Amino acid sequence: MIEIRGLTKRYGDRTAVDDLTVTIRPGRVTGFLGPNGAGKSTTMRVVVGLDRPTAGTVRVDGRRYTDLPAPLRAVGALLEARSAHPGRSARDHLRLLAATAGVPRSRVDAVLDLAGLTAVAGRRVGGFSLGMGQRLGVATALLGDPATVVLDEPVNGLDPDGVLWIRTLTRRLAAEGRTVLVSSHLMSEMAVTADHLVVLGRGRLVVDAPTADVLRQAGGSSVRVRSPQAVELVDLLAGEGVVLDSPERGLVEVRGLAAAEIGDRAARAGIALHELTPVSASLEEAFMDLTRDEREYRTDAAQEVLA
Amino acid sequence: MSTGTLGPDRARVTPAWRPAGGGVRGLLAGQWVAVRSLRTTWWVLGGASAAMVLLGLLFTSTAESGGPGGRGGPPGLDLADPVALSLGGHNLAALVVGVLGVLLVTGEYTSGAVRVTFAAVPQRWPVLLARAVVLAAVGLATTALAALAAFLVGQASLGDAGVSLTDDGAARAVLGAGLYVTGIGLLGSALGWLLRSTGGAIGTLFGIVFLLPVLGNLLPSSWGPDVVRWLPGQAGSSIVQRVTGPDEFAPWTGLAVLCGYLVVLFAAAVVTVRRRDA
Repeated sequence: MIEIRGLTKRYGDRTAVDDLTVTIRPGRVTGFLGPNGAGKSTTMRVVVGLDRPTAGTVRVDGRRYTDLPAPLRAVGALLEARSAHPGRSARDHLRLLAATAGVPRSRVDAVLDLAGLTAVAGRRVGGFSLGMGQRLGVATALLGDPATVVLDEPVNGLDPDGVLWIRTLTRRLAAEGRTVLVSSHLMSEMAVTADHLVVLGRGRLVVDAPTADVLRQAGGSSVRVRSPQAVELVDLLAGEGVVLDSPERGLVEVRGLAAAEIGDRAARAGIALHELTPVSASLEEAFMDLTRDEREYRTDAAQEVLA
Repeated sequence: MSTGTLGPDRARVTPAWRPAGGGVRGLLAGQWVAVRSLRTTWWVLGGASAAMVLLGLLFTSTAESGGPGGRGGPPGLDLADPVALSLGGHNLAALVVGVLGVLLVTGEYTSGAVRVTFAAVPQRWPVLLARAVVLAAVGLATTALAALAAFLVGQASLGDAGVSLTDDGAARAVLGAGLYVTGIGLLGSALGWLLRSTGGAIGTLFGIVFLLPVLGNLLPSSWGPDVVRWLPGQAGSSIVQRVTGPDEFAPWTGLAVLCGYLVVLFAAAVVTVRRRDA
């Protein structure tokens, strides 16, 4: 379990994380979402004690990271695509960490196998592809058999095989009762893997909710209606809980009414419909909706600067 | 791939002070793997050793002529002292091992590997110390052996003019050459932790060890030597001399001065590395 309380991190006058309070619970995959620069990586670096918070606290299993008796055995992290010395072999990279963390050497072979790197374990990391480096990073994260796993953009640079591997792996780690925090800037990826979403925008918490709820609320679905009598149609459909928008003449976008309901009402009123199409919001649109406020804030700020 | 990720070793052993879980032994073992797994380590140590032996042989075999061991030799080489002649390569070896000290640290920074290590050891200072201990052990073992080889080869080439290891101060100078070269390696390591950049740390190292003494010679002779002998390189290299001059520290005193600098620099490195975001 990761408990983040009032976390703020500033680099100079740039605020990367702004008063973030959130708890990452065990037994499920928590997706950490946000546009690039939203503060996900910074938060993760603070969680594993690499960056010091400007304010606030982070606790893992109830302890501060520096107070953990064997950090690698409590928290495993993949933070950057490349974090092994290019001159070292994958096996030596893992061995030196295993010795440091007091992890038996058999774990080195176990995680190499788990990451599918056994065949190249003796090769120097400098010759690895981005995907192999990413797999080594995951192997490193799991070396200490940690109860908490933190992965920053783990699918970056992976081929479809690798992406599937990460999905299966994170699901299994969560099923084993571990705390799993996986970041991504792709909503579509998170929708597949994450049970729970924590969305950041400009360093602030935007959403902390189950994935299903987020998808339902954020995007919702709309119905695209084309009619030569669009004006009458708008009067007909207007009501509580109904949002109407007319992006062009003769076209109405309706939220809050099902397509069948719209069709029935139009038929009763004798209004001709030329198109009646239910539209599901894409996941990326849902994501854009979620972070819109934060992005608008940024635009406002830019305008203030210009004014 | 089907192996369960949950190993049998879930029991969390938490004795009073076992940094990072592996304890002091684990830290040292880990840093030993870190140092030995890089080819650079062995290339540099091999090169330094070869330089020490070959230069010693060059200086001793040309001592009688006008070669580098004779009149045209490097300044500071005591032509009358067969021990100094045979250990004349220690300056170049120090330069090379100093660079190794830098590279072993800055390489971890440029590759990002240091972050993984610091995540494993959030107190960070045990990593600096363990790395220094391993570098000192490996460096001393290699360079002291190389100094011994340089001494034996050099004395053999001097024939009757050669001295034995049991001669006054000879054994100390041989061990001293290893100690001095290792000390400069540690100086490079401390600068690496402090500056993180390869270029900056190597530049600073060369400035301190090789440039400052030259500049110091431009100082007035009334007090200049008193300043110069306090420089880390000058102080440390007095252990390599059999007989030290009036402007130099006594051998072990000089080495102690170098060690003093190392303690101060490593203390500064520990404070800096702990405070900095990794």
